[in-house]
Amino acid sequence: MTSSSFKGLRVKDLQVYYDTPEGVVKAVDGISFSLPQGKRLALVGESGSGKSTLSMALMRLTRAPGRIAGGNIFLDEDDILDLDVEEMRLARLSKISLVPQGAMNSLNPVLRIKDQILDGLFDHQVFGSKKITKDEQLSKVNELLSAVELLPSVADMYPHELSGGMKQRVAIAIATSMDPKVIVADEPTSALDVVVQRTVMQTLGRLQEGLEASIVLVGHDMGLVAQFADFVGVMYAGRMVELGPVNSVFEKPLHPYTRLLIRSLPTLENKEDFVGIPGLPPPLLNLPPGCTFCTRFGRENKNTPPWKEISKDHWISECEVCSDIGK
Amino acid sequence: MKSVTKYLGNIFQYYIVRRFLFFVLIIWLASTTIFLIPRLSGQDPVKEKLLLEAQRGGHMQAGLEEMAKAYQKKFGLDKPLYVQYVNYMKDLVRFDFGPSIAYFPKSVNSLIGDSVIWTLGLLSVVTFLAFFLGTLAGALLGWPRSPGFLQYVFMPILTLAAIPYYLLALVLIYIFAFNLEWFPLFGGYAVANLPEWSFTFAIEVIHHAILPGASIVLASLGFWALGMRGMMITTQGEDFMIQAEAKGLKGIRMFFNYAVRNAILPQTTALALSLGTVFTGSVLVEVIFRYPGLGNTLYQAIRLNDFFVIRGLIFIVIVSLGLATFLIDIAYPLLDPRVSYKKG
Repeated sequence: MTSSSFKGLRVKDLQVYYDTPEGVVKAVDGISFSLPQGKRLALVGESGSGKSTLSMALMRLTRAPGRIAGGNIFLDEDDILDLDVEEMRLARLSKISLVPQGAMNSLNPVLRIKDQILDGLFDHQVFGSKKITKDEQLSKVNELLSAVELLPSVADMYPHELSGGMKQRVAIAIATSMDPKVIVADEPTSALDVVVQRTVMQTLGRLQEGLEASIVLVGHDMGLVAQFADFVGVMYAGRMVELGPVNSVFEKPLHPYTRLLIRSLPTLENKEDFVGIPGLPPPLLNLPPGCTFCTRFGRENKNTPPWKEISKDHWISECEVCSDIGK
Repeated sequence: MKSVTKYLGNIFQYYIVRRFLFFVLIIWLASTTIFLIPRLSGQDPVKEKLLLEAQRGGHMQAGLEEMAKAYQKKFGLDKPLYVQYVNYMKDLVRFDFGPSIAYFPKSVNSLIGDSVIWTLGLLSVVTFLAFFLGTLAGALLGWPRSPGFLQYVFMPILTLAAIPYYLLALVLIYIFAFNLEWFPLFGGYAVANLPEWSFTFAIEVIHHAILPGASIVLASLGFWALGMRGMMITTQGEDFMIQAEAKGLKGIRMFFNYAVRNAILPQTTALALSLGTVFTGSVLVEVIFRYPGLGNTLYQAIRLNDFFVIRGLIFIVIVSLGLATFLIDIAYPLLDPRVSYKKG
């Protein structure tokens, strides 16, 4: 992967900090990954590991007291952190778009679905400066709705008249309305039941393949991740501890946290005793340097573990002190 | 019979019909209450009054009973309570509030009719103006992308909300009418003129209305602005605001179509309620400015024990409050699609 010809999303040493009166919370602390065009990366990790902070940072939607403290987010060749405010606004939806967490409340309750699909297009001059007729607008809306398997009648409805799955489909229709290069899906199915989850993810996957877009899926449902993603990144306390092709990570997890995470999953074969991970992640406030996972087991490694590529595309944060845990 | 109940059932599903019936019910209940409350005291107003007068004049009490009976017959107070009630309701339905006591034989209707246009004109304009300006100020104050200097412009104005409007009125009179002499001290129009439909008279009316209007606007601006600001900040935290930004919408569209459009919903309810009190006006402001409106009429009526005028004005307050609520109930589904005309 030479950087000059790389197509896709490339994040380099990204840091997102929250400034609090007590000190700095390093919610995302030096994360790097490359996601080639058309591939799917899933980010997993427990609550507070920085997944959502990372996905918001990818959209440059980090809000105060949060701030992007450093690093780069390359979209193909360009660092979106270098864009000015108006350029960034235009890049959203057209180059990088968001399928929000819990689509329940992510639609404006007082606007019809068609208006919420169209307003993004209007503000990106999709129809050019010329006036286009209502029929042309509607046919665009219908086209987007049918791509997410919704009836044209949904266009005239309000969000409260839709089911959770339908709302999430509308959110996907909006996110794909301008053929973006990267789709950030922040727990897109967390509020849905498993049957709807499956069909919604299939729709998302089909559209993403059609657009040849990259997708960053944030979720904590390991089963969903294993089915959907090409790559999986495991996050722990604001850092990436393991990143690799999904088969490689699930079959040969190299980091102790990944091993314990996979072992904590219920499977059809092993129903009796699945093991939890003892302890809690460390508080992110004024986190000392060193291995963050060691502290969970009362061990200590004062040196921040190096980020190493063990086999092709399979990276871990290698700490010699805790590497034996869960073996 | 079955079809009738079914028909009625369908009617009740119509939002507007149900709201209207509710409006009628409120007015009926309220006017029944104002009918009953004085009669619960068990006192006889005619006899009390006559006794009082007799004591004052030092007259003998002979013939007083007969006199009381004669007056009671005249006022219809000798009839059974339910007959009185039916007569009272008949009068109300025809909006006939009887004669004024203080300005006999002028009717209450004509007294109210003379002053209603002044109050309605002044307060409806002033209420909408305060609502519009205050809501806009609050929306801008609660919008993180607003230029920072707005804080310094609006915040001092909002502190005026802490001052009662009648005190503000006195201050305004002192500065702008008494010292600077920019505006007249009192009245709805110059004493020398008679009301007429002409351009010069209209200018004069506006000139007279500016100070009383300004005192109400300045005092209520803060109410609207603070309410709107709070709602704007609440709306910022909604998921759809994050989604709006993720959609790359222009700032102005996010401001109006997403933030303001949602934050304004509770404001409209408050607007309906404050429109309902337009008819009684801001009594103290009208008294201070000797403005020829309903508030001043009410003040004079209370001073002169003009019970029929008071009753008529209270009825007007009830009807206008009910009407305002009814209108906002009808308008609300247009603003908030989650409130449906159909059911619920």
